Amino acid sequence: MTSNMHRGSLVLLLALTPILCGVDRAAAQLPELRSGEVVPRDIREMYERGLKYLALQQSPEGGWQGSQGGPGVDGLCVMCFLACGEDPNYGIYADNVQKGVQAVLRAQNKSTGYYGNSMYHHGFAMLAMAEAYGAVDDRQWSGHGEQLPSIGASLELAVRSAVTSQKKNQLGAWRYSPDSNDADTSVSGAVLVGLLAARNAGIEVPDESIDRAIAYYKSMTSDSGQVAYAGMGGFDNSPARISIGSLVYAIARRKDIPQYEATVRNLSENLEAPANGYTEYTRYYRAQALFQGDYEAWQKWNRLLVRTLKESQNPDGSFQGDFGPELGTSMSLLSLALNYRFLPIYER
Amino acid sequence: MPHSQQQRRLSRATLLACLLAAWTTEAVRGQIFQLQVAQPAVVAPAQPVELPEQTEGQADTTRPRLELQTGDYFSGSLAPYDQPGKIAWQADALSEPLVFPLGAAAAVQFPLVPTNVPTQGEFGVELLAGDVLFGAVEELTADTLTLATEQFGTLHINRSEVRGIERWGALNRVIYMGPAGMQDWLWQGGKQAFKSRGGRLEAELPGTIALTGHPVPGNCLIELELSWRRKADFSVRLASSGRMWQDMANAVQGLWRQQPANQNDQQDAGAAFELTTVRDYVVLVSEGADAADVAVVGSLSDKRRKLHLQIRVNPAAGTIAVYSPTGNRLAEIACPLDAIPLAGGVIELTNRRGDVRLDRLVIRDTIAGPPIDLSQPGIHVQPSGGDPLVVEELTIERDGDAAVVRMPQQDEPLPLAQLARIDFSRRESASDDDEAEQKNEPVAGDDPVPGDIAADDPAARFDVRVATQSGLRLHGDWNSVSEDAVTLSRAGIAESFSIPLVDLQAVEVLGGDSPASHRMQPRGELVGGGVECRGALVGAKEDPRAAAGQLVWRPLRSQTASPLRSDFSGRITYVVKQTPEIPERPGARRRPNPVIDFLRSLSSVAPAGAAAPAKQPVGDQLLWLKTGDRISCRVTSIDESGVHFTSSMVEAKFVPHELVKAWDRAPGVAPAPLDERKMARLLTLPRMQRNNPPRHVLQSTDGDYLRARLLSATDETVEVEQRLETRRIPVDRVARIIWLDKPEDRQADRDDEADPGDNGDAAVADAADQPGDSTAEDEPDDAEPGVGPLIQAVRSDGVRLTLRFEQLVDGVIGGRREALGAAHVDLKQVDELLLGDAIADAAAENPFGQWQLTSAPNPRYLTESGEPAAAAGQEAGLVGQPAPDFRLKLLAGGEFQLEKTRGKVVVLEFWATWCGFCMQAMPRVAEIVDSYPEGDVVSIAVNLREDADTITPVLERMGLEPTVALDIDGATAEKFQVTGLPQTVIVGADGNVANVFVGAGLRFDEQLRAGIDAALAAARGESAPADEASAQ
Repeated sequence: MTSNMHRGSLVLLLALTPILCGVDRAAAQLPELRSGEVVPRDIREMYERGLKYLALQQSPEGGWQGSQGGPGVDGLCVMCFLACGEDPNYGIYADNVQKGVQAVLRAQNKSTGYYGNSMYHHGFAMLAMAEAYGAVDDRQWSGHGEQLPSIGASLELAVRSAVTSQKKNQLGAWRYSPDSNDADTSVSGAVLVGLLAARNAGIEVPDESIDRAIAYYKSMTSDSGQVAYAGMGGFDNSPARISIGSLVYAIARRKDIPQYEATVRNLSENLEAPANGYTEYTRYYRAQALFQGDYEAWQKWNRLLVRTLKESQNPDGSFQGDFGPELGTSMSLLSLALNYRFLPIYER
Repeated sequence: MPHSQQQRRLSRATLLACLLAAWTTEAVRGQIFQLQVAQPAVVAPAQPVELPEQTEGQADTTRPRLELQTGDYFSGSLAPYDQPGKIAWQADALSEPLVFPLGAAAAVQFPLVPTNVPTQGEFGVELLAGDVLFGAVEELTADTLTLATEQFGTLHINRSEVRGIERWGALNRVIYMGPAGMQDWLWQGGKQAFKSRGGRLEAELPGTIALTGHPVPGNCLIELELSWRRKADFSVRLASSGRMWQDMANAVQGLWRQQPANQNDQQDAGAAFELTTVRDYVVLVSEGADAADVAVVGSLSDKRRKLHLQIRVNPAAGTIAVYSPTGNRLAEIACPLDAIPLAGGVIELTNRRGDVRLDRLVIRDTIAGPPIDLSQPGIHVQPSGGDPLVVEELTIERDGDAAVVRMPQQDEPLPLAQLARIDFSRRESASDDDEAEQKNEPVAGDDPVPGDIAADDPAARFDVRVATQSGLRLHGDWNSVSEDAVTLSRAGIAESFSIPLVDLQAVEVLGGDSPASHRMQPRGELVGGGVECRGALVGAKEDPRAAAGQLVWRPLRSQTASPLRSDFSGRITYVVKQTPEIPERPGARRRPNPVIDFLRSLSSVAPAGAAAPAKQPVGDQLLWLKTGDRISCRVTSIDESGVHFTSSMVEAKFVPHELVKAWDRAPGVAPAPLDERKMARLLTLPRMQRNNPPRHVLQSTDGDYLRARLLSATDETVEVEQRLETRRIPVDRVARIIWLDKPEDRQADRDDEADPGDNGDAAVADAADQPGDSTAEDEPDDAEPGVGPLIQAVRSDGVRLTLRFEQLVDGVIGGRREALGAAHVDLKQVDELLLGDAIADAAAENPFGQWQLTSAPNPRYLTESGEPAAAAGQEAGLVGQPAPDFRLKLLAGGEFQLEKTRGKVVVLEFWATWCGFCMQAMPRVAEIVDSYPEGDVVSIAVNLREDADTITPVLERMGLEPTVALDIDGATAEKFQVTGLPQTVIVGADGNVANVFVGAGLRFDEQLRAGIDAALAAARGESAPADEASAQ
């Protein structure tokens, strides 16, 4: 399924709107928004510098091998290129996008549909493929004589893999390995978001799977909006997890439940709270969660984000991170990518 | 004139009463000190006593110093100059010599060089004014005395200049002749009261000095010359040997309060005599254990403020007598025997509430009788053996081989070898004091105090009085100075004297101009580099060097101006800061008065950010820069890059935020006082805001404080961001904005590392160090580009501007300041100019320095043992303890026991297949371990509670091949306090746990490597290199 007007909650997708409308843009243009307003220049410049860095770091095979490598990383990097508004098939980054997508596809286990070697990778790769699905033209790739599945096929397989893993899991969520019997909210976030994105892209995802996962999250969310990690021990404050919780509720369209309100409130009342470790990871999720949950809060927080990123961007365009510059850069760029849209989507 | 017996007794009785009263109130009297009697008996040239550091005056005593009549002084050296009547001085602080008219100078002091060698010669020829020249007498005619001296060659001296000729050491052996500086004198008590000036010792504060190293024999003749300026309130004492001076330690420490030395007053055997002033009289007292005697010597004269006496102690007769210089006996008292110093007494001079100067002290060991009565006309001749003669005429000439003294009235000439002393009576000498004697006053001496109103004084003929290191004292006229010697000429001596510069100890200018007589309008006072003087900076019109980046200074009274040296550090003060009104005595130099200093120090400390007295034009604002400058300006706007302003002082119109410390919009408004607690609260940064700290503090006109981030300002509103909200404030409500320094440390982030954190997850969270971080803001480099020295001008309105000096034209200092461009300051408005180090010191006292944010402390997490968590890798109670032994089956078969690996460095990695971070960490650990030589490091991956079936596929898939030990029941993990995975433990060769790492964050690789390195080094027996990783 290729044509969609309604894409997933992730803002990145919206950047592709011009393509969906059938407008074929060959040359780079100022990414414009539905409203016609232009992204501020300092943000644009930061973002482009980051993209240049990623482009340079991409290996000839299309992947990004940093201290963390794998289809999840590749997927996140691909999403950065997708989010900027350049045409993924004919734009200046088309080559990067295509190679990146191919790298992800290549990393998938043909029989199980498992991307990479950890459910983190699986989740992010699924998300990336869901975003690429329909935007990236995979019909006429000349591979290296290899047989790559289409993005759609790959996605379907991946969804099945995730669902299968969930079925085996007594908590109804996911952990590092597809065979894990326990779960944590961090890995589950990656997988669940990927599933929801795939669903929004038109891939069939069983409702009960989503429900079960949401139930897991509800069980892990406290009244104050804190989200636990893995059920052992208490709730320490983690803006990252709170953001993940809030985001999954939002894009699963469960904004009705009190846990959603609690997490959103927690986030918007603690905009300046520093990340409890994992700065870029937190940033990545918090941007989206705020954007979905409280637009005004997002605006305020975004100002701080832009200021922080301006100060911390390296001269080569990269952003340092706990897991290396590739992940640090891609997650930071994606948190910035929400600026490429000013109007919140799916405002109900 | 001696009184009649009757009168004497009466006056004695009265005076005794007065004296007793006076003594009990004497503060000095309460002091009991002990004298250290110097080595007795041997009267060879006394070794100078080992002195503690005693300073002459206040300045650096290692450099010669020129003092002017005005009180100004310059450290430096005599510069060669050959015009008489002028003195040229190369001050250390200036680059060229200054030339002063001789009358402007007061004295030149050179550092003391204790010399053992007193001047020697066969004869000592005593000239008018008290100088003594040593040498061999060759001839004495009716007009001229020819003296062959070692130092100055053969001199031809006018006979009328000569007062006496004495064979040195023959008769009355001279024990001491001086003073020539403080070198033989010990002082005692609080602040050192006595100072040496031109060799003479003067005091204006109460204090006591004692001459040590020159024990005074019981049989002695003491010649004393004292003078004073205001009030005579002193005493001279010959203390007996029973007293010991106080431990020098007390004196050195300069204690104010006198420490009672011994409680043994009884040891105080008294003084042979004490010559003391009691109101308007001079009184002689002798005091023993049981008996005492007292007599009035004379009355003090207001006109001639000096005392010149000879005191003779005669134990044989049991008397002490006081004579005038001409030999008149003025007083005599009985001296108790037990008061006579037997083993050698000590002369003490005490100044009480007046001032006194010791001009001359000569101590002779008398064998012969009382001083000759020189009021009788004629020449008194004292042969070595035999009776003294009085003749009318006398010559000395060669007769064959030897010289003889030919006296027409005598039949036989006296061989010179038998001559002990010749005294020419006063009538034959140039000046006289008849009237003084008839007025019944103590006789004034012949060399009154220079600068005194006294007239008719032989010394006043001369320009200078020179004291040498070897103890010589000479009057003369200042002729010239060469590279290494000073040349004096002297009326009455045909030849001129050349005194090597190294031998100079002091030069005193006589009859100099009084300070009041030259009222040049001094502009400022230069202090620093060994110089303290008034004068003015010279502008470019007078001296073109002032336009070429040189600060040219002309001291008051100098005939030349000189540029300051480029390394000069000090200040030029135009306006002294407000101090309480302490009336200064005319002509008196500022001297250290502790009370005044204390008061001054109180008033010169400005409270932080205190408002300046309203002297600046209304509407002017102050911009405080981090460099320490404060410039008056008008701020036009502020944006995100910096502050835009206009200023009449500097060229620049903009300064970036990094340079700004504060903006004082309303300098007249005093800041509301904040108590310490509120201040601490205001400046504490909550953890929540650590990522987005406020960068500024705004102070309202009402005294409220607001922490925020300044976004922009116009002349109407100020826009700030507070907690991510933007606010607008009308600008007229803002009194001051202070730029805060960034929170000082990232310690908080490092504290996060120590946090055990999430269970089961990698806990080590290196907070991402923002690459663009700068730590403490350094003072901007003061390596300014430019020509001249860096100076800072301080104005009375609080404005402070540092610039690199370029020129001084028409009273305006012009220069350049990096970041501010060309700058200028009108000297008329300047209170003070700082140069050199003084600028840095001033910058250090930054009134806004306290405005720094400090991060709120992180909660500290306790480990299981209840101890606070320490640095990474060292937290667990395990570290330093012996590693618990264990034995586990290996995945590949076989067993592993930790004990068996004793002697090797072991890396244990606790992991599980479900732990994603373990999957990521294991290859890294493998890589690191493999990088060491084979066998050095043993690496075991201890798997937690999983079986082979679970593990093997995972390892295959990951492509890893570690040595896996199976901790099936988890007991080993428990022993090692594993609470989170992955946990990596380094066990040293000694079997103790060296490091524990929980998690594998960004720095894990280097930390692990460092830990292994350290363990290996320890195993080899080397001292471990600084373990960065564990210190993190």
